[in-house]
Amino acid sequence: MRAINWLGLIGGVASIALVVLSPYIPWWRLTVGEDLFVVNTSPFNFNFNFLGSSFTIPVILALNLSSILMLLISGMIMIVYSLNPSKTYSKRLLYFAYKKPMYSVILFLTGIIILTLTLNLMFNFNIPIHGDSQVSISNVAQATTIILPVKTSFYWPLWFAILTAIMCIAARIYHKNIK
Amino acid sequence: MDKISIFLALINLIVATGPMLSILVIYISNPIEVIVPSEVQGLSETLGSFGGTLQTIELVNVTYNPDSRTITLLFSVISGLDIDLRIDSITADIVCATHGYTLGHASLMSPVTLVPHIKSYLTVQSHWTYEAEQHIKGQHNGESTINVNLANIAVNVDGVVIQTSQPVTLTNIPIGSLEG
Repeated sequence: MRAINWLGLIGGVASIALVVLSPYIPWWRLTVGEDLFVVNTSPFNFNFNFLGSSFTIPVILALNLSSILMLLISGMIMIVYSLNPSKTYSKRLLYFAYKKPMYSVILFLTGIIILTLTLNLMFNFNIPIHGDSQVSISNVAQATTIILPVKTSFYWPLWFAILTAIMCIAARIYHKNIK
Repeated sequence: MDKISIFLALINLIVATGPMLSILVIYISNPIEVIVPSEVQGLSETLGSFGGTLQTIELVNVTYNPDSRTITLLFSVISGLDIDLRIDSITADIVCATHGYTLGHASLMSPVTLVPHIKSYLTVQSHWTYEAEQHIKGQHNGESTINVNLANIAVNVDGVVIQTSQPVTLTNIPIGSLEG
Protein backbone atom coordinates (compact mmCIF):
# COMPACT_ATOMS: atom_id res chain seq x y z
CA MET A 1 0.00 0.00 0.00
CA ARG A 2 1.21 3.48 -0.90
CA ALA A 3 2.49 5.45 2.09
CA ILE A 4 0.71 8.75 2.78
CA ASN A 5 1.53 11.22 5.51
CA TRP A 6 -2.07 11.98 6.53
CA LEU A 7 -1.04 14.62 9.06
CA GLY A 8 0.85 16.45 6.32
CA LEU A 9 -2.06 16.10 3.90
CA ILE A 10 -4.46 17.62 6.44
CA GLY A 11 -1.90 20.34 7.24
CA GLY A 12 -1.43 21.16 3.54
CA VAL A 13 -5.16 21.36 2.79
CA ALA A 14 -5.70 23.39 5.98
CA SER A 15 -2.96 25.85 4.93
CA ILE A 16 -4.72 26.50 1.62
CA ALA A 17 -8.12 26.75 3.35
CA LEU A 18 -6.64 29.27 5.78
CA VAL A 19 -5.55 31.56 2.94
CA VAL A 20 -8.95 31.27 1.25
CA LEU A 21 -10.84 32.02 4.50
CA SER A 22 -8.77 34.89 5.82
CA PRO A 23 -10.09 37.72 3.59
CA TYR A 24 -13.58 37.04 4.95
CA ILE A 25 -12.90 36.47 8.64
CA PRO A 26 -10.04 38.30 10.37
CA TRP A 27 -7.70 36.69 12.87
CA TRP A 28 -7.87 39.78 15.08
CA ARG A 29 -10.18 42.76 15.19
CA LEU A 30 -9.88 46.12 16.94
CA THR A 31 -13.05 48.17 17.28
CA VAL A 32 -13.34 51.69 18.70
CA GLY A 33 -16.83 52.82 19.69
CA GLU A 34 -19.59 51.07 17.81
CA ASP A 35 -17.67 50.47 14.57
CA LEU A 36 -16.46 54.10 14.31
CA PHE A 37 -12.92 52.80 13.83
CA VAL A 38 -12.33 49.20 12.86
CA VAL A 39 -9.16 47.27 12.04
CA ASN A 40 -9.54 43.73 10.74
CA THR A 41 -6.28 41.93 10.35
CA SER A 42 -4.60 38.63 9.58
CA PRO A 43 -1.27 37.84 7.91
CA PHE A 44 -3.16 37.75 4.60
CA ASN A 45 -5.45 40.74 4.88
CA PHE A 46 -5.45 44.16 6.50
CA ASN A 47 -8.58 46.24 6.47
CA PHE A 48 -8.77 49.69 8.03
CA ASN A 49 -11.97 51.71 8.36
CA PHE A 50 -12.33 55.11 10.02
CA LEU A 51 -15.72 56.89 10.02
CA GLY A 52 -16.58 55.22 6.71
CA SER A 53 -13.21 55.96 5.05
CA SER A 54 -11.05 52.97 4.28
CA PHE A 55 -7.67 52.61 2.62
CA THR A 56 -4.82 50.21 2.03
CA ILE A 57 -1.24 50.75 3.13
CA PRO A 58 0.95 49.51 0.24
CA VAL A 59 3.75 48.18 2.47
CA ILE A 60 1.24 46.06 4.42
CA LEU A 61 -0.39 44.95 1.15
CA ALA A 62 3.02 43.70 -0.04
CA LEU A 63 3.55 41.76 3.21
CA ASN A 64 0.04 40.30 2.91
CA LEU A 65 0.73 39.20 -0.68
CA SER A 66 3.99 37.55 0.38
CA SER A 67 2.20 35.71 3.17
CA ILE A 68 -0.61 34.57 0.85
CA LEU A 69 1.81 33.24 -1.77
CA MET A 70 4.09 31.67 0.82
CA LEU A 71 1.33 29.75 2.59
CA LEU A 72 -0.42 28.75 -0.66
CA ILE A 73 2.81 27.38 -2.13
CA SER A 74 3.85 25.68 1.11
CA GLY A 75 0.34 24.14 1.37
CA MET A 76 0.62 22.74 -2.15
CA ILE A 77 4.16 21.49 -1.53
CA MET A 78 2.98 19.89 1.74
CA ILE A 79 0.25 18.06 -0.20
CA VAL A 80 2.73 16.88 -2.84
CA TYR A 81 5.07 15.67 -0.08
CA SER A 82 2.27 13.97 1.87
CA LEU A 83 1.18 11.96 -1.16
CA ASN A 84 4.80 10.91 -1.85
CA PRO A 85 6.52 10.89 1.54
CA SER A 86 8.98 8.11 0.77
CA LYS A 87 10.51 9.62 -2.37
CA THR A 88 14.12 10.80 -2.22
CA TYR A 89 13.15 14.46 -2.64
CA SER A 90 10.27 14.36 -0.09
CA LYS A 91 12.31 15.38 2.89
CA ARG A 92 13.29 18.63 1.18
CA LEU A 93 9.66 19.41 0.36
CA LEU A 94 8.64 18.70 3.94
CA TYR A 95 11.42 20.83 5.39
CA PHE A 96 10.43 23.70 3.11
CA ALA A 97 6.72 23.55 3.96
CA TYR A 98 6.20 22.41 7.54
CA LYS A 99 7.45 25.57 9.29
CA LYS A 100 5.51 28.13 7.24
CA PRO A 101 2.14 28.04 9.11
CA MET A 102 4.05 28.22 12.41
CA TYR A 103 5.97 31.28 11.15
CA SER A 104 2.66 32.93 10.12
CA VAL A 105 1.18 32.45 13.60
CA ILE A 106 4.33 33.53 15.47
CA LEU A 107 4.95 36.61 13.31
CA PHE A 108 1.29 37.62 13.48
CA LEU A 109 1.06 37.31 17.27
CA THR A 110 4.40 39.09 17.67
CA GLY A 111 3.10 41.94 15.48
CA ILE A 112 -0.09 42.27 17.56
CA ILE A 113 1.87 42.25 20.83
CA ILE A 114 4.34 44.86 19.52
CA LEU A 115 1.46 47.05 18.24
CA THR A 116 -0.43 47.03 21.55
CA LEU A 117 2.75 47.54 23.59
CA THR A 118 3.84 50.42 21.36
CA LEU A 119 0.45 52.15 21.67
CA ASN A 120 0.61 51.63 25.43
CA LEU A 121 4.17 52.86 25.90
CA MET A 122 4.17 55.73 23.38
CA PHE A 123 0.64 57.10 23.74
CA ASN A 124 -0.47 55.54 27.05
CA PHE A 125 -3.38 53.87 25.21
CA ASN A 126 -4.30 50.82 27.21
CA ILE A 127 -5.32 48.48 24.40
CA PRO A 128 -5.64 44.84 25.41
CA ILE A 129 -4.61 42.00 23.11
CA HIS A 130 -7.98 40.38 23.72
CA GLY A 131 -10.70 42.17 25.70
CA ASP A 132 -12.28 45.53 26.44
CA SER A 133 -10.79 48.76 27.71
CA GLN A 134 -11.27 52.52 27.60
CA VAL A 135 -8.85 55.01 26.12
CA SER A 136 -9.06 58.59 27.32
CA ILE A 137 -7.75 61.47 25.21
CA SER A 138 -7.67 64.88 26.89
CA ASN A 139 -7.29 68.25 25.23
CA VAL A 140 -6.51 70.62 28.10
CA ALA A 141 -6.66 73.73 25.87
CA GLN A 142 -10.23 72.99 24.79
CA ALA A 143 -11.19 71.44 28.16
CA THR A 144 -12.37 68.38 26.28
CA THR A 145 -11.98 64.69 27.02
CA ILE A 146 -12.82 61.94 24.58
CA ILE A 147 -13.45 58.50 26.03
CA LEU A 148 -13.06 55.73 23.48
CA PRO A 149 -14.31 52.24 24.30
CA VAL A 150 -11.86 49.82 22.68
CA LYS A 151 -12.60 46.17 22.01
CA THR A 152 -10.17 43.65 20.61
CA SER A 153 -10.84 40.01 19.85
CA PHE A 154 -9.23 37.02 18.26
CA TYR A 155 -11.36 35.06 15.81
CA TRP A 156 -11.49 31.36 15.06
CA PRO A 157 -9.20 31.46 11.97
CA LEU A 158 -6.33 32.13 14.43
CA TRP A 159 -7.11 28.90 16.33
CA PHE A 160 -7.45 27.16 12.95
CA ALA A 161 -4.02 28.53 11.99
CA ILE A 162 -2.49 27.24 15.25
CA LEU A 163 -4.07 23.83 14.58
CA THR A 164 -2.68 23.89 11.03
CA ALA A 165 0.80 24.72 12.36
CA ILE A 166 0.55 21.84 14.88
CA MET A 167 -0.57 19.46 12.09
CA CYS A 168 2.41 20.43 9.94
CA ILE A 169 4.86 20.00 12.83
CA ALA A 170 3.22 16.65 13.66
CA ALA A 171 3.70 15.66 10.00
CA ARG A 172 7.39 16.45 10.36
CA ILE A 173 7.62 14.26 13.50
CA TYR A 174 5.57 11.48 11.88
CA HIS A 175 7.84 11.55 8.82
CA LYS A 176 10.47 9.62 10.84
CA ASN A 177 8.07 6.66 10.95
CA ILE A 178 7.61 6.54 7.18
CA LYS A 179 9.93 4.14 5.42
CA MET B 1 22.84 21.55 -3.80
CA ASP B 2 20.36 19.71 -6.02
CA LYS B 3 17.75 21.17 -8.35
CA ILE B 4 14.86 20.85 -5.86
CA SER B 5 16.74 22.71 -3.14
CA ILE B 6 17.61 25.49 -5.59
CA PHE B 7 14.00 25.63 -6.79
CA LEU B 8 12.66 25.89 -3.22
CA ALA B 9 15.23 28.52 -2.27
CA LEU B 10 14.21 30.53 -5.36
CA ILE B 11 10.52 30.30 -4.37
CA ASN B 12 11.42 31.58 -0.90
CA LEU B 13 13.37 34.48 -2.35
CA ILE B 14 10.82 35.47 -5.01
CA VAL B 15 7.80 35.21 -2.71
CA ALA B 16 9.49 37.07 0.14
CA THR B 17 10.85 39.94 -1.95
CA GLY B 18 8.69 40.01 -5.12
CA PRO B 19 5.59 41.79 -3.81
CA MET B 20 7.65 44.33 -1.85
CA LEU B 21 9.88 45.10 -4.87
CA SER B 22 6.78 45.42 -7.08
CA ILE B 23 5.21 47.91 -4.68
CA LEU B 24 8.47 49.89 -4.55
CA VAL B 25 8.59 49.99 -8.38
CA ILE B 26 4.93 51.11 -8.57
CA TYR B 27 5.54 53.92 -6.07
CA ILE B 28 9.06 54.80 -7.27
CA SER B 29 8.02 58.38 -8.05
CA ASN B 30 6.58 58.87 -4.56
CA PRO B 31 8.12 56.34 -2.14
CA ILE B 32 6.51 57.97 0.91
CA GLU B 33 3.15 56.61 -0.30
CA VAL B 34 4.40 53.08 0.36
CA ILE B 35 3.88 53.79 4.06
CA VAL B 36 1.54 56.81 4.05
CA PRO B 37 -0.88 56.41 1.13
CA SER B 38 -2.63 59.37 -0.52
CA GLU B 39 -5.93 58.13 0.94
CA VAL B 40 -4.71 59.44 4.31
CA GLN B 41 -5.65 62.81 2.81
CA GLY B 42 -9.22 61.48 2.79
CA LEU B 43 -8.82 60.72 6.48
CA SER B 44 -8.07 64.34 7.32
CA GLU B 45 -11.07 65.38 5.20
CA THR B 46 -13.19 62.95 7.22
CA LEU B 47 -11.94 64.52 10.45
CA GLY B 48 -12.69 67.94 8.97
CA SER B 49 -16.23 66.81 8.15
CA PHE B 50 -16.64 65.65 11.75
CA GLY B 51 -15.55 69.05 13.05
CA GLY B 52 -17.80 70.72 10.48
CA THR B 53 -20.73 68.65 11.72
CA LEU B 54 -20.27 70.02 15.24
CA GLN B 55 -20.29 73.57 13.85
CA THR B 56 -23.72 73.09 12.24
CA ILE B 57 -25.41 72.53 15.63
CA GLU B 58 -28.09 75.22 16.02
CA LEU B 59 -30.68 75.91 18.69
CA VAL B 60 -33.96 75.95 16.77
CA ASN B 61 -36.61 76.23 19.45
CA VAL B 62 -37.10 76.41 23.22
CA THR B 63 -40.34 75.65 25.02
CA TYR B 64 -41.16 75.64 28.71
CA ASN B 65 -43.98 73.76 30.39
CA PRO B 66 -44.64 75.39 33.78
CA ASP B 67 -46.86 72.55 35.02
CA SER B 68 -44.15 69.93 34.72
CA ARG B 69 -41.30 72.48 35.09
CA THR B 70 -39.86 71.00 31.88
CA ILE B 71 -37.75 72.93 29.42
CA THR B 72 -37.36 71.43 25.95
CA LEU B 73 -34.52 72.49 23.67
CA LEU B 74 -34.67 71.57 19.99
CA PHE B 75 -31.32 71.55 18.16
CA SER B 76 -30.70 70.95 14.48
CA VAL B 77 -27.51 69.42 13.08
CA ILE B 78 -26.29 68.45 9.61
CA SER B 79 -23.78 65.60 9.45
CA GLY B 80 -21.01 66.22 6.95
CA LEU B 81 -19.84 62.61 7.14
CA ASP B 82 -20.75 59.96 4.60
CA ILE B 83 -21.88 57.45 7.22
CA ASP B 84 -24.76 57.33 9.67
CA LEU B 85 -23.83 58.59 13.12
CA ARG B 86 -25.90 57.58 16.11
CA ILE B 87 -26.19 60.05 18.98
CA ASP B 88 -26.98 57.76 21.89
CA SER B 89 -27.08 60.36 24.62
CA ILE B 90 -26.43 63.99 25.46
CA THR B 91 -26.25 65.15 29.05
CA ALA B 92 -25.48 68.56 30.54
CA ASP B 93 -26.10 70.70 33.59
CA ILE B 94 -28.19 73.81 32.96
CA VAL B 95 -26.72 76.69 34.93
CA CYS B 96 -27.96 80.26 35.26
CA ALA B 97 -25.41 82.30 33.28
CA THR B 98 -25.71 85.31 35.59
CA HIS B 99 -25.56 83.66 39.02
CA GLY B 100 -24.01 80.25 38.33
CA TYR B 101 -27.01 78.59 39.98
CA THR B 102 -27.75 75.04 38.76
CA LEU B 103 -31.27 74.96 37.35
CA GLY B 104 -31.46 71.33 36.30
CA HIS B 105 -29.93 68.46 34.38
CA ALA B 106 -30.60 68.09 30.65
CA SER B 107 -30.59 64.91 28.62
CA LEU B 108 -31.42 63.77 25.10
CA MET B 109 -34.99 62.46 24.95
CA SER B 110 -34.24 59.57 22.60
CA PRO B 111 -31.26 58.43 20.49
CA VAL B 112 -31.01 60.07 17.07
CA THR B 113 -29.33 58.79 13.92
CA LEU B 114 -27.67 61.53 11.90
CA VAL B 115 -28.15 60.73 8.23
CA PRO B 116 -25.37 62.11 5.98
CA HIS B 117 -25.92 65.65 4.68
CA ILE B 118 -29.53 65.84 5.93
CA LYS B 119 -30.75 68.07 8.76
CA SER B 120 -31.54 66.05 11.87
CA TYR B 121 -33.15 67.25 15.08
CA LEU B 122 -32.10 66.57 18.66
CA THR B 123 -34.58 67.11 21.45
CA VAL B 124 -32.97 67.81 24.81
CA GLN B 125 -35.13 68.05 27.89
CA SER B 126 -34.55 69.25 31.42
CA HIS B 127 -36.77 69.19 34.51
CA TRP B 128 -36.12 72.28 36.58
CA THR B 129 -36.05 71.77 40.29
CA TYR B 130 -38.34 73.58 42.73
CA GLU B 131 -35.25 75.48 43.95
CA ALA B 132 -34.48 76.51 40.36
CA GLU B 133 -37.97 77.88 40.00
CA GLN B 134 -37.56 79.82 43.25
CA HIS B 135 -34.20 81.16 41.98
CA ILE B 136 -35.82 82.49 38.81
CA LYS B 137 -38.73 83.98 40.71
CA GLY B 138 -36.37 85.61 43.16
CA GLN B 139 -33.41 86.66 41.04
CA HIS B 140 -34.97 87.18 37.60
CA ASN B 141 -38.27 88.74 38.59
CA GLY B 142 -39.69 90.77 35.72
CA GLU B 143 -37.48 89.17 33.09
CA SER B 144 -39.10 87.26 30.26
CA THR B 145 -35.92 85.45 29.22
CA ILE B 146 -32.65 84.44 30.84
CA ASN B 147 -29.28 83.27 29.59
CA VAL B 148 -28.17 79.81 30.64
CA ASN B 149 -24.96 77.85 30.32
CA LEU B 150 -24.87 74.22 29.37
CA ALA B 151 -22.06 72.90 31.57
CA ASN B 152 -20.37 69.48 31.89
CA ILE B 153 -21.64 68.47 28.47
CA ALA B 154 -21.22 64.79 27.57
CA VAL B 155 -22.19 63.45 24.16
CA ASN B 156 -22.19 59.76 23.32
CA VAL B 157 -21.67 59.22 19.58
CA ASP B 158 -21.68 55.57 18.54
CA GLY B 159 -20.21 54.58 21.91
CA VAL B 160 -17.54 57.31 21.94
CA VAL B 161 -18.09 59.80 24.78
CA ILE B 162 -17.02 63.41 24.25
CA GLN B 163 -16.98 65.43 27.47
CA THR B 164 -16.26 69.10 27.78
CA SER B 165 -16.12 71.39 30.77
CA GLN B 166 -16.23 74.37 28.40
CA PRO B 167 -19.75 75.81 28.90
CA VAL B 168 -22.02 76.64 25.97
CA THR B 169 -24.18 79.72 26.48
CA LEU B 170 -27.78 79.74 25.30
CA THR B 171 -29.35 83.18 25.24
CA ASN B 172 -32.94 84.34 25.58
CA ILE B 173 -34.42 81.22 27.12
CA PRO B 174 -38.09 82.10 27.80
CA ILE B 175 -39.18 82.05 31.45
CA GLY B 176 -42.20 84.36 31.19
CA SER B 177 -44.57 82.04 32.98
CA LEU B 178 -42.22 81.62 35.93
CA GLU B 179 -42.10 85.23 36.93
CA GLY B 180 -43.09 85.85 40.48
